[in-house]
Amino acid sequence: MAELLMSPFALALGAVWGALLAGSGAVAALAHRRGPGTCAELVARTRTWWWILGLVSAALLLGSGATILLVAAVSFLAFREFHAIVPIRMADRALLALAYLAIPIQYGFIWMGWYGMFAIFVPVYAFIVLAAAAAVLGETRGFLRASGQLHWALMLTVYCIGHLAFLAVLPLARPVAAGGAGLLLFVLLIVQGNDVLQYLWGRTLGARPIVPRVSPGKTWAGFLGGMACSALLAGLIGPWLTPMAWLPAAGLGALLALAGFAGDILMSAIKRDLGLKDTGTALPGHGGVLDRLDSLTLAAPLAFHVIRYFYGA
Amino acid sequence: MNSQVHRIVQRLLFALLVRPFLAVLLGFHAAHRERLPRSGPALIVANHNSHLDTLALMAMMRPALLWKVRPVAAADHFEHGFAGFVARHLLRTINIARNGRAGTAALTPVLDALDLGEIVILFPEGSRGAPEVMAPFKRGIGHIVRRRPDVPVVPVYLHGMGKAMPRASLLFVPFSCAAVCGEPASLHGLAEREVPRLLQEAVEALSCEVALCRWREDEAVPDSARPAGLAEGVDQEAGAGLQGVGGDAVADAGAGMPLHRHLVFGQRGDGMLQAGIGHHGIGIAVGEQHGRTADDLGGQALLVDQHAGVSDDARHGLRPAQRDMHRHHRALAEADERKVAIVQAQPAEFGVEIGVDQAGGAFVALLEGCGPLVHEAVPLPPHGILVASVGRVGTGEAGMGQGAL
Repeated sequence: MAELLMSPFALALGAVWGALLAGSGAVAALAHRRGPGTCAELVARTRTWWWILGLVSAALLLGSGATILLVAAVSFLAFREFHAIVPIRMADRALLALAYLAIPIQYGFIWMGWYGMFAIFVPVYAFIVLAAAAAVLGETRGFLRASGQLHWALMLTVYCIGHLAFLAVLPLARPVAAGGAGLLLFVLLIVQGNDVLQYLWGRTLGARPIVPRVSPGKTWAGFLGGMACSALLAGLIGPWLTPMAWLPAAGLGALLALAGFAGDILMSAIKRDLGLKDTGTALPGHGGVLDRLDSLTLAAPLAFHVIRYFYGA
Repeated sequence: MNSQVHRIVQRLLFALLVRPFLAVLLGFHAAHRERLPRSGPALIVANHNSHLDTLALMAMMRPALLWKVRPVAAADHFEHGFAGFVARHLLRTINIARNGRAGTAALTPVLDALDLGEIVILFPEGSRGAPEVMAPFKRGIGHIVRRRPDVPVVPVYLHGMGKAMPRASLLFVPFSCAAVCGEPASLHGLAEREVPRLLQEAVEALSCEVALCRWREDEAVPDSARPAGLAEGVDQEAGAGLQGVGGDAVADAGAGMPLHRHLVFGQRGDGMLQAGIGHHGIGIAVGEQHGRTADDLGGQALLVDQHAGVSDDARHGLRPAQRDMHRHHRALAEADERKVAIVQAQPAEFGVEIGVDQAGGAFVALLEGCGPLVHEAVPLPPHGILVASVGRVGTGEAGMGQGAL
């Protein structure tokens, strides 16, 4: 931890705290100008950001164990939330109980740093066991849909999100002072920052919707502006937090913006299918856990594999 | 002395075990907790789906009041053994015989508890019943309210416990659970038999607050995104407001599939009736043998364990239509049996009432005084979603869907 505090990681984390402080100030000023009770959602959202930042900072500073535990807890919440919004057959309860077991196992492999098992456990072993169990249980009505739901939920909330945790223990060919915490902070910052940047660009310039059928609020200006800013930001902080030089870091930044956007509209599509606005109410101002994680679901594995392929030991 | 020990154990049990368990594994959240009684006597009524219900309701009370809380429990369940000991001494249940032989005299302990200024938790459904389905409230509650008219009655809606740990299951599975507390019901001057119905309506009304937010106004679905390719012969005229009953798939009403909570949105009966008059089409399940709805369209209900599409003649009232008739050859039978009728009627000649059958947690479509009807049966793809509504109904890529209104 002492080592981490002396590294550029501390500087980057401090900058994030500063940015959120500035953002909170702006929101407070806006709320003050417009009168009480006008920006309730924005205020709630900012307050939730403080909680998220506090938890993430604490976990990152405490080390990889705490980080893995936090990501595992987030996976659990997301998985549970997913099944609160999709229709469930009573016969699926047993399967679900089994699927929940995959969470500690998967994060156990991450904690051990066992890459091979981490990479195949959910898509191979959990898939085999759950598919077989579903067939043995023999509730054939709605079988494919229920199975699909379960495997999707496991892939999105446990497997994909799990890559964030593995970033914390990923061995690098050329270790950097910020370590795994730096890698994770980099990915979180770019992907979540991209959400905010896309939103800001979309609100100021956006006109032409990019995917009107899924998410009418998303515009081309928001998408492109967000992507450019994310690439810029990644190029700036990449060399500090990761083994990447500025150019590949910027490239990864653009890629993560793309994947973040895809994850975002993916969750929107799921919500539209279910006729929901939010996936839950766990995070006031944001909606559910999945609403916050949406952009990370696809970006996390992508970031992980790009970094591991080019910079892993 | 002994009860003093039990009281301390109870406090510890809730602080160290029950509350963390509810918070961590079930993400339990109670809305409007401030509406719960701050002192006794009071009556809390809630829907009942799981043994977790009692624990959740007690955990919602402020710790100082916990000892005054008395859940009513079934004597056949909680008289003996370890569960009985925990129930009687730590949860302080009032055990009541359910066999009905004692009549209303069985409820005397409840009245006594109220007279002592205690807070009684009562599940008027009488049993946990089918998972996540509300059964009609029984009469006992009316008896109590009539005898103690000044005791405030607080309705609470519980959600999700029936999924986490339903009746007849020892397997606990984490599911998001929530509770919504209501304002104390005003029951003054109500006849005894009216009380259960009114309270049930109060609890059902609260179910709408379980936060399943629909799309906000400013992000409304553009028309182009709605299911396309509406069935022909359905009037294209746009109705006024969207007053739909969102049903989770008649197609999903299979064995063991609890109707999803989308259904909640349709549970306001009065509004539906209002909306219905003057609109044109309505989607209801039709019989396979006849390929049509019953002549009088007297109504058809799909209970939770019934199939969509196949039904008996509805002239016989709302008796169970098709309870797992095809259990053995279901996979073969279901694909071509799911049908939905698009019914078109002269607006002037028909009144529509759509509600949600409270007994079965199911869909009931009732058309009264219909004139000539035009309807066609449209096959419902397996696992398609039926959104029945007063208004236009059509088939889209996603199956049955509600047209743009």
